[in-house]
Amino acid sequence: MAQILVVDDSATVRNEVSSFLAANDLSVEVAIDGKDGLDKLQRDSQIKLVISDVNMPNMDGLTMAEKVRSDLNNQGVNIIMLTTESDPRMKARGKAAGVKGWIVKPFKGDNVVGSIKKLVGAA
Amino acid sequence: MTKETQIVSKVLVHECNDDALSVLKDVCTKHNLIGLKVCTGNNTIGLRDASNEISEVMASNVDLGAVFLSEAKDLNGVSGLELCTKIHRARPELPIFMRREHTDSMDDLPPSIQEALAGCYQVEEADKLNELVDNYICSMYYPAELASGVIDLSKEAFESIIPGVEVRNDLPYLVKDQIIYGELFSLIPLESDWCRGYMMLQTTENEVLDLIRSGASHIEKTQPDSRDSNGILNEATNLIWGSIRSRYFTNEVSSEGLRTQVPIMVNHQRKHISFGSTEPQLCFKFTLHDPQMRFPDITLYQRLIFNLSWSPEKFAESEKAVDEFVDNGELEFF
Repeated sequence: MAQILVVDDSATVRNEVSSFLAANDLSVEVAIDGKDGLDKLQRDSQIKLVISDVNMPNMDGLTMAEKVRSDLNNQGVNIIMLTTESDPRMKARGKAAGVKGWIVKPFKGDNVVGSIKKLVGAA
Repeated sequence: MTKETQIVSKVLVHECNDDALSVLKDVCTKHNLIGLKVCTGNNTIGLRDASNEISEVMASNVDLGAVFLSEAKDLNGVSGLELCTKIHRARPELPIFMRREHTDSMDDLPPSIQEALAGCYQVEEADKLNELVDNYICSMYYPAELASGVIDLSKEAFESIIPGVEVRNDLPYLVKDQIIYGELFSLIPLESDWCRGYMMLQTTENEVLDLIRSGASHIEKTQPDSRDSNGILNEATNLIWGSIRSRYFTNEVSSEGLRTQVPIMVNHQRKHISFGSTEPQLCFKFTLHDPQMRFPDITLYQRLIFNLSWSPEKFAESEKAVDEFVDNGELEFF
């Protein structure tokens, strides 16, 4: 059972983000792409927040976000994109899919940990 | 253009005539060329075969812009006419310029030598030499703002992946060489309305594995494997690519423009990669140094290859990126 699902095809980013969150007393699960993320989200109903990359093989993060709302019919989980993308069209697509927020990489944990804790109800 | 953003090019010089060296020095200064002079037999090293030294210089410099040779024999009796075919066989992409004594034509030279040469000049023809350099080395204009911006973005990416690292960089330079440094490299397309091509990052696997073993990266493994070193380079590539897109690619490239592609050729035996274009590539050399000495220095070569389309006159920084409302790493709520 985890509070946060980190979805990124880069092991470096998965390690970096999950280690930081774990060090801040948050339980974390990781997924290697959007497909894996959907799978893990379906199996773990305790996940309150998904932090996902956009550009990933097999299934990108925005498609995953859209499928979370449509295929899984999960309207409750918060989704934040952590990506190198900052194109307004991408953000608009995320917004339409119910994405809650957007972080442009690199990940600076100290800047966002407060907001993340609030989103999972741990603040 | 400030000294920081000056774009240079490294050239190999085998020349024993003082007047010719003086002319070459002026040309190098004018075009920001850095001359790597090889032994001509009259220095303190003593009588040494120039072809051996050229081989050594070329082996340790996989990022040259051109070669300047002389028809006249050096003190060892070695002439550029002998050297040029050897160099051309080893690195056919490098333009070779030959100084000749009595003519600037190559018509009287054997076909094998003509094929190896990009052009000939005489010592009193500085204009012709400048023209050759313009045509072969400085044929592609790269905005200095792009070069300095890419350095800044790349440094930020490396610092994010390796907290506490000190990133040093050489001046950006133009490269004709198509030799691959190390055995680990990444390629990612760069697509905008003003350029189309690739970004390539090159390094050695052992350097990255040493970094991971030291615990200085975000990967916590004492016995990392190639997937881990791939992961580090992958993330560096992704971060730099994303930053370049945000900062410089303001407009989408039309679908019409995306249709053109050319095969990328890789020869593993020769460690050679060709993008189908002979235009000079914009190259950056970074050294990642750990002040705490947890891992040895890492050398990284970054190349921008705009082989499919290049319109630097349309180059502009994204106003949005320059005047960002939300900084990198901050959470922007919708």
